[in-house]
Formats: sequence, C-alpha cells, structure tokens
Amino acid sequence: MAAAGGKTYSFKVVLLGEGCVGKTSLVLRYCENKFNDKHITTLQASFLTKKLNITGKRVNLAIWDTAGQERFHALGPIYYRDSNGAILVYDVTDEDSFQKVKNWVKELRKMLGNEICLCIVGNKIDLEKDRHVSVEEAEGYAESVGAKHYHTSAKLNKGIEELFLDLCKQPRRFLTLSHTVMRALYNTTSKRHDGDGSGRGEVKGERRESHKHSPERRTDCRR
Amino acid sequence: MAVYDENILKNPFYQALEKHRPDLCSRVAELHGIILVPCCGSLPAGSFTASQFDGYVLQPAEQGYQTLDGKEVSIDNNQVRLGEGFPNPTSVPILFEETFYNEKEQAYSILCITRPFDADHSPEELSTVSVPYCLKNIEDVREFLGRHAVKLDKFVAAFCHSFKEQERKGLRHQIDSVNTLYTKCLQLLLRDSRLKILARQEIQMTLLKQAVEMYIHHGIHDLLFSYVGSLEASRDAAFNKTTRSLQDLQQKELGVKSEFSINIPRAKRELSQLNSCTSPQQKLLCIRKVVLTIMQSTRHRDAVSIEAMCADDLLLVILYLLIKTEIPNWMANLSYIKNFRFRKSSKDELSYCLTSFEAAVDSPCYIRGSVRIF
Repeated sequence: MAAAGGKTYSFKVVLLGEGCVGKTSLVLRYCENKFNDKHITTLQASFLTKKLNITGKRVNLAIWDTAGQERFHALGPIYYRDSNGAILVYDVTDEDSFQKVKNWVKELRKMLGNEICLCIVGNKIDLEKDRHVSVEEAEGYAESVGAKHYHTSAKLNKGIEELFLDLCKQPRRFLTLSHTVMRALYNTTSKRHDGDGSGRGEVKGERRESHKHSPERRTDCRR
Repeated sequence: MAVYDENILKNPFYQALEKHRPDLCSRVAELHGIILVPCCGSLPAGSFTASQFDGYVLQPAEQGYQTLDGKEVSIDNNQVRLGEGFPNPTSVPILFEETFYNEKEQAYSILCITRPFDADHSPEELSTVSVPYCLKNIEDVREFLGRHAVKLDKFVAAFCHSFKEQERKGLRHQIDSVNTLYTKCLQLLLRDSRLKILARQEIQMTLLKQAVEMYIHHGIHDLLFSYVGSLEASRDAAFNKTTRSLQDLQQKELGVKSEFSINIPRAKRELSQLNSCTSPQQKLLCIRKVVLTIMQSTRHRDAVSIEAMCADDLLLVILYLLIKTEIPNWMANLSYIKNFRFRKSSKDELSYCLTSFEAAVDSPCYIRGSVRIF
C-alpha cells in the first residue's frame, strides 16, 4: 500500500537453492522480527517481507521461496512471475549445489531474459576449511553470466544485509523489469503450451484440452 | 488485506526531528539504533520541543534499550515498554518496522508506534489503529455499507438480468462487464458526501473498495461462478481423474514431513469452506487461512532446533490436501479468483498463497510419474 504522496516500490525477489544450502536460515536471519520473539506463532520461511527506506526511497521487499525439488522443476515459472530479482544460493562446501545454481541461471536467463537481476550467493563461509567451490571459480562464473556474487554466513550473520541492500538499490532496472519479464514469460510459455500464458508447467494428456478457453489464459498476463 | 502504513518521511514528528536535531539522526545511524515515531494520526497539534526527541531515540543496552536521555526501554511482543526513568510506566504497541539506510549506508530502525508516550488515549482508539483492517464476510460488509447497500442492489439486479442474455459471450467480455459494474457501484457511493470525506483516509478507501467488491460478488456469485464452472468443466474432470488415481497416497509416500502432519486435519477443515465463499477475495482469504494453519508452529518448548517451513514443504502439504479434500472444482475456483479479483497485487502474501495453490494444482501430473521412487 503506497503512502500518501510518496511512491513505494514493491520488489519481489525469488529465492532458489537446494534444500540443504541454508537458504531458509539466510532469509530468516535477514527478516527476523527481533521485536516479537516471544510470540512466534508461525515459523515459516516461504514468504517473508521487509520494509526498507534507502536514502528516501521506500521499498517493500517480498522474498518468495520457490519449490526447489527436482520433481517440481517445471513449476518454477509459476513462482517467477513478476519478480524483480532472483537469489540463487549454494553451499560453498558442496560442489553439487553450485552445479545446481548453474542450471537455474540458464533457466532464468532463458525464461526472463538478461534484465533480471541475478545474485549468486555462496553460503556457509563459516565452514571455510571444508570449502569445495573456490572463490575464483564462483566469482568468475558469476561474472561470465552477468550475475553478482556474494559470500554469506547465515550462522555468523555475515554478508546478508549487503546482499539485500545491493539488490534493492537498483531502481531503474527494477522499474522496467516487470514488463520485460512478463513479455518473456508469456512468449516462452505460449510457445510451449499453445497459448497457455499462465506460466503453468507442462500440460500432459487430457489436460491439453484446457487451451480451448484461451481468453482466460490471456488475462493472466495483463499485469 | 490492509495493514497500517504511512510514509515516515512525511510524518510531522520525524520531519521535526530531522530538522531540529540532525545530530540525533547521525548518532542513531552510527549506533545502529532505533527511532520511535508516533503515527501521524496520534500527534498533537502544535510544534515539538527539540529536547523531547532524545526520549524517542534508543540505543542497545545490556538489557533491552536505553533512550539517549538515559531512560530504560524494553521491546517485546510488538510493544515498547517504558521502564525506569519514565513518569508513567506503560507500553505502546508497535505498528510496523522500517529499516532506514542513510547516504553512508548506515542502517537504523524506525518503529512506528500508536501514540506519543505522554498521550493518554482510550483503549478503543488504540485498537482501531493497531488491528489489521479486513472485512471477512458478507455480514461485515453489510454492516460497513449500512444503508448504502440498498443503492447497489439496483445495479446488481440489472447485471444479473443482462448476464443471462450475454452468457454466450467469452470470458473476456464477462471480466470487463464485472469490472464495469464494480466501477459504477464505487462511483455511485462516492457521490455521497459523507462517504467521500471518509474515503479521504486511505484505509477507509481500501475498506470501501473491499466492501463494494464483496457485496457485488455476493450478488452475482451464483450466475458468474456457474459460468466459470462450465468453462472449466473439462479441466476439472481431468484433474479429478488424476487426483482420484492418487487417493491411496500416504503423507509419507508423498514426502510430507511428519512435523507438519499435526496441522493437516485443521487445514482440511478450513479448506472445506472454500465453496461456501462467494467472492474471489473471500476465497483467497480462505486459502490464506489454510496456508497459515499449515504453517502454525508445532514446536515444543524443549525442542532445540526448529525447522522452518520452506516452499517445498508447503507445496507438499497443499498437494496432499488437494488429493484428500472433496473439492470437485479446483480449476473453476482458481480461474474465478484470478480473473475476477479487482484490486490485485502480484507481490503480496495473498498472491503467494494463490501461487502455492496454483503450483500444487499443477503438480499431480508430475507426482503420478515420480511417486514410486519414494
């Protein structure tokens, strides 16, 4: 909700990463409400928000966790809709998780084009001695795909605030992104599913008949 | 949903603080401290004295916080509690927190509170500010609209009459005509001078829009929802066929973590209300309630480590609920919510809940192929 007179930006950031890389601890650390710790009724890390005011610019940041399990791979686009940025988390002690990030980068670039702001995050730097992904490799890769790279430790609360602050400081990029994202999404999904622009995953068998009612699908993309 | 919000940069108290005490602004940033700002509606007329601001700036202390003029303050349960040094030990509710960054990228927190320390407000006044504003059902709506509701009935009746003739037209046409009905009704109400003045407050305007939306949808629901139902009938039949084939699936086979099982029966009960909701907004609130029920903390006092619920966990529980709940028209429900909700944000909590359900409705076809692996 925008306050009278001043514009408030709504930023949606999607969070990607395998289950064990600590992505939930990372966002919980960032968004925890330290003024309400005695009355936690829910402990959820799937949808979190934070209000920021960066030198006068109000930002309502919404962080969306996405389904990351392999078998739900095709559901990704449902979560990506209208997002302004993506945070891809890997565990510096786990090379596989870094590989997984590379796959997501490919998919996001394909789906959302080059304008989406990608942040690649190497988490668990408190376990430096067990590091299996070298700093050079990770930073080199991030640069090669036009992403920013960060090192964080949810445990020690290191690097997390910088990551989100940087992400929210890119006003022009965010302003134009939504349209581009939607166009890209619409094009991609309509090519794949014969006009099903709702960003749904693969439609199989009997559900193919769904596109009979294409007007409904089109309205999903109006935003 | 509407919760209290205001732009702190336009708050007279904060503006006065910035103007008269720039020293405090830089001090709080260096300390990574907190500024307490009474919400704009609670501020007394007249100016502020430069010295009173010290009492509203907090720095971390050994136990809790200390104001810059040396009084003790603690913060918990979303309340600021005034301690030693204050003439009247009381507590003031927090409305929201906002993290500020200055030019040097130093961070400090603003806590917007319901009133200044020295104001004595009655509890009723307080509750109107701190409670999230939301009309839950048609009774709330009728009460909010009062005598104005009758004015809308004429429009609703006219819509229903012409709907029968226009039923063969496509979904696009129906979305437009429902939107037109909404706009017409809202404009009509805003011609009333008393409502017009009330609607100058953003929160009242939000409520008025919510009320009009729910009232209209309640009136046209039977026609509109059965129309959407007929459009989605074949997709619903296909979806039901898929879920029926998964009927015997156990939570464990699906991968639902045992700690989340405890909330499932209650979530199921909440979900069974879905088809008794008439407006897209109410359906969405129902879905949100299901999600909140699923996520309710199940931790025991002794538990040391608590697993937070992430998107995968949530998706699996929703999927389980979809398979086990007798709702025969999921596609119709989702289409109705997505196409006929007037004031939508694609980034808020309701939108996340909807997205989780959309994802879950899409997932049985993947599950069917993969479930044997578990």
